[in-house]
Amino acid sequence: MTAVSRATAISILACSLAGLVILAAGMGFIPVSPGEVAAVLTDRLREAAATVDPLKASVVMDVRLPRILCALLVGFGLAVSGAVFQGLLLNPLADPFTLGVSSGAAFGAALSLLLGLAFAGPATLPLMAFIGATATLLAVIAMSGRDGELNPANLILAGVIVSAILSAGLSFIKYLADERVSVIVFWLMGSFTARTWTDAALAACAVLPGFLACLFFARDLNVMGLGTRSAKSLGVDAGRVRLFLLVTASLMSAVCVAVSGVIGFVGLIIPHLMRLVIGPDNRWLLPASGLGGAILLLSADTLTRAVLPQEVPIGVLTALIGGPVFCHLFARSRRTRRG
Amino acid sequence: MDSATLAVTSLSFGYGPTPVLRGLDLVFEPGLVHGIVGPNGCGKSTLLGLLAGHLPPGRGNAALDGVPSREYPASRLARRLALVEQQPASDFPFTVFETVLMGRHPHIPRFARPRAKDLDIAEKSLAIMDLGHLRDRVLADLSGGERQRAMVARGLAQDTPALLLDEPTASMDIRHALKTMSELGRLAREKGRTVIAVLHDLNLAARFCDRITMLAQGAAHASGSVEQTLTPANIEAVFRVRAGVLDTETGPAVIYAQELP
Repeated sequence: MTAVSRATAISILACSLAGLVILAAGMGFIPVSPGEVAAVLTDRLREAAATVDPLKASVVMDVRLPRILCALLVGFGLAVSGAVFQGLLLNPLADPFTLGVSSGAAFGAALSLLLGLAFAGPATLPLMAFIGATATLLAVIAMSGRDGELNPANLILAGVIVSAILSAGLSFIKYLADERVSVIVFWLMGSFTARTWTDAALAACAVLPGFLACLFFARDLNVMGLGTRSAKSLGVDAGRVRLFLLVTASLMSAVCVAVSGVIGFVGLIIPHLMRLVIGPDNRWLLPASGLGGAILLLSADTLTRAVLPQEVPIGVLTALIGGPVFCHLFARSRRTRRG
Repeated sequence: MDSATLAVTSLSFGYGPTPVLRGLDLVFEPGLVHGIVGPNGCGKSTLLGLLAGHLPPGRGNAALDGVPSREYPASRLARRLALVEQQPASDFPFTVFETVLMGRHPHIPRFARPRAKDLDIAEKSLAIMDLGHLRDRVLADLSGGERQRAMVARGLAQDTPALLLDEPTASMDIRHALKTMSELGRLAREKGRTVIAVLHDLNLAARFCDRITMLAQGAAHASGSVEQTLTPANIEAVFRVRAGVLDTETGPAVIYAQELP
């Protein structure tokens, strides 16, 4: 794919996302037309007097927009870190949770729900999830990083072992939790219900700098796809770049999990999908994956919030929407390759 | 392009407690094709890894122009020395051209687009390795020999004074093996490159190398010109194979008779 058509693909994705945001902000219990949504946004930006019904303006600004931004940012962050993990671990089956970040977050969150912790007010749950995720990451790196090389196979193995231990711990917590088990299960399935501007700001603070940091090393990531020794002889300090990207992508996904709960599928499938569309070059793949992930999660969240009669767990919907699209593209790419 | 001299002095190395190289002293001068031959597991690839600065020497050192390879910053070393590996694998669908262009990575600043010179060198390397018709194919879909040609092309595109190759012709057909070796010879003669190639085919080594080092159990059994090194006695001692070396009109030819018990 040439640079021009890749740039076109990226701008199409970006425009679709912008359109989707306007559309999603108008959908819900109180319908607001796209024109009014645009007016609310521009009013706020220009700090001009309100030209739209204040109730509608408040619904859009205070209720829907934070939730929309959360879904968008979490989708972006998970898909970008998924693409980075696949590149780093040289494994197309890797995703943001391969190294146990999600199990760690789930364990931390479940612990906080079980014990009814509230040392940091409403932020306790996301904080515990984040601590769990970070501690898991450190444990995995410490286990596999002895030789200073962070060999992909060792990382995956360490991640699988730590995840298995934490899953057992999580099952035990669920067993102890009795009737509170449904709260834990529902948190684990992920949701964007009642997210605030604070959540959105938190996600933005992790996802945007993380994305830029990953993009900075995108070409090195391409070269590392040739294997560690080849990368080294092409002047990429593979060990250091790997450690940096690993920590960046993991922290990015840890914050996403803390904000939204564990949402699978996005980080695994979106990078694959985008690789079919835009090719394997990470300089294009990372932004495309981010936008694709944002579109998928925002669509799924809008569907469950405004269209379906009852809220369905978002992880279920992402798989139901994204799965068939992926199957279609996958089948098509197999055909063209053979043909 | 300036020249590069590689040298190892009393170099020893082991993986854990297993010694692989024991006190090697070798010099690889510019303008020559240096062949390294020896049986499996005698430390050939390890020697390349040490020269390329990927492995830390146990004792002694491996140096490029008098400075230990490990002391170069990665990006600077990559503009002085290229290593073409034996088994590169990528699960990602990069095309042949994209892969070869990665050879220009150390020459292209971050966020810059490849310049005309970079694209030109990549195209020339493709042409030398007969890959023009495969340039837009996905590397992973090609045969082993074609992939290996792409890897050599990537090494050529890196355009460094020192070029290290680990069994570059192992899975190539005869024509491409000869072509690869002639190109390496041309680079050494005309551009003063230092070429070091690990080879299994003693006939290719005899025909194209200016210097040959025979490694046996981590030590240099013999080192010098083809006539000095590839003798029936040396081949028998190093490979435990009885062989004859014939003088033919196309150069020396090694004939293997039988393996010794």
